[in-house]
Amino acid sequence: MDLILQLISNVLIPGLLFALIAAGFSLTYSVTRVLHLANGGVVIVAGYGFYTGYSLWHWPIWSASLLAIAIAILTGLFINAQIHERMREHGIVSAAGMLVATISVLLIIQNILLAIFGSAPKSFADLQGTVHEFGPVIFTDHEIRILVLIPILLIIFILLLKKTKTGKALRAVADHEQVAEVVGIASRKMRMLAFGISSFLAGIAGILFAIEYNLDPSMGIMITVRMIFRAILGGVGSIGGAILGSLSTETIVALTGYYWNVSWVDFSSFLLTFVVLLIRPNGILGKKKRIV
Amino acid sequence: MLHVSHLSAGYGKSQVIHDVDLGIEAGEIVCLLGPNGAGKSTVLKAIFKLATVHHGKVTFRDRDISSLHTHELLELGIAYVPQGRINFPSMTVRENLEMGGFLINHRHTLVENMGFVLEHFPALKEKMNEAAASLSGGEGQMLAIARGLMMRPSLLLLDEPSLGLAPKTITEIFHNLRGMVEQGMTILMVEQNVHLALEIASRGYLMAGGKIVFDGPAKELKNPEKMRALYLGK
Repeated sequence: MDLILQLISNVLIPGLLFALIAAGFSLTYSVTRVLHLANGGVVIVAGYGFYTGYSLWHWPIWSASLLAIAIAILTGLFINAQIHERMREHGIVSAAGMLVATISVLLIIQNILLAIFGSAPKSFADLQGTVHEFGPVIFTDHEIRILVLIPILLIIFILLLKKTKTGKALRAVADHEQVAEVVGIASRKMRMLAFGISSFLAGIAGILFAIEYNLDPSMGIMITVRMIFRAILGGVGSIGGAILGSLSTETIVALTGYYWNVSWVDFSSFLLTFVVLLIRPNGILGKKKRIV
Repeated sequence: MLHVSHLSAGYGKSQVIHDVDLGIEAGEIVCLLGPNGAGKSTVLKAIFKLATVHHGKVTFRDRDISSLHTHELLELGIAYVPQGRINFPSMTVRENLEMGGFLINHRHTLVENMGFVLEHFPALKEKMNEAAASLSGGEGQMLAIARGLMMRPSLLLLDEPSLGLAPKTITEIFHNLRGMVEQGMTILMVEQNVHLALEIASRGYLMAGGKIVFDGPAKELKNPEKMRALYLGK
């Protein structure tokens, strides 16, 4: 029992962080049909925005967080407007072209951050707070923040998509862009909104991630690779799939680390995705999935 | 009500329809006939700004609407139902109808219009919470039309409502449409099924090769000799 609780605590922290990142990725994919691989870049941009505000300028934590989220949203909107919308205007819809573009953006972001901030990891250990023991499980203040904040955000996000007019319009564009235009929904605005929302989520994840695991520029690619594997495992284009894919991958990672060896966790998590895709090529949720 | 003059349009640089002139008065059902690829659908799309208009003028109730966008046309009272009973598959019937009224800002107007639309398509009432993807072909087409009616348009542009449907369903849909026209709506309809179209329409335009080659009252278009000659281009 103690072991199970400990494993659960090891699953939830990274699982929730990646759920938030992958949920945004899935939203942009279903609304814009762009595989937004630069999303991992947006996450670390937010991390460095927070570092700039908090560590360099000595702003209070809330102002630094707002700065980080604002920079993340601007980055996402910029990527959408200057790259993806432009490619659409020129009629470039090839998957390969989009893929090259989005990977380039990710690499450019990483290299800009490397040039400005250097490769040394930035630590926010002072923000992790005190350690709390709940029986066999240990959480820091910051981890409790993650455990409370991310589920609330995900629930609000899902409710917005399910219940509000704008959320329905986003789903309408995801379902059928031409019909959405026919009823007067401006699909271009919805694509912008999808990038805005996913960057907002990536921004929050970036701050939480940086405090939990430190921050260095090479994390952009690492986060993107993990994000895409988790999203595809659950069923890309679905928020539930993003959450499911993140939590199940972290479960495998935790089990591998405990019963086998920590150096094999990447192997087993990628193997999990590989095996699931062999059986269900459209991910755990399969073909019938929807955004929410 | 709607007057189209010298309309040339297509997709991007390619031109599909050339110098099309047509007019429709309030309370009429007018159909566009003609073989596949004649450009009938493109006429509707050009009027609704879903195709690229190269040249020409469109007026609606004596107002020049040539430069307006799709959402502005919807607000003026023009709606369009695309071909192939396309809906938002993962969304429920209710949500599909709500999206049909996307430009309505008042909740009570939306509820009122939904009630009106469901009165004309009662078959949808029992399916309100089902996903559009689970509907039958006939129900799917009814939903597509009902979605188009959510703005309570005065002019409905309807693209091949009978395509791929059982005769009984078609009869039902056409009966519903006639009911709407009796209440003051006007319909410009593309239809491949000449016989069906002329049952319901008062006038028709025959298109071939992107041009209008003949227009006249339904009675005249029903003449098989004449139609054969026109279809064969003699």
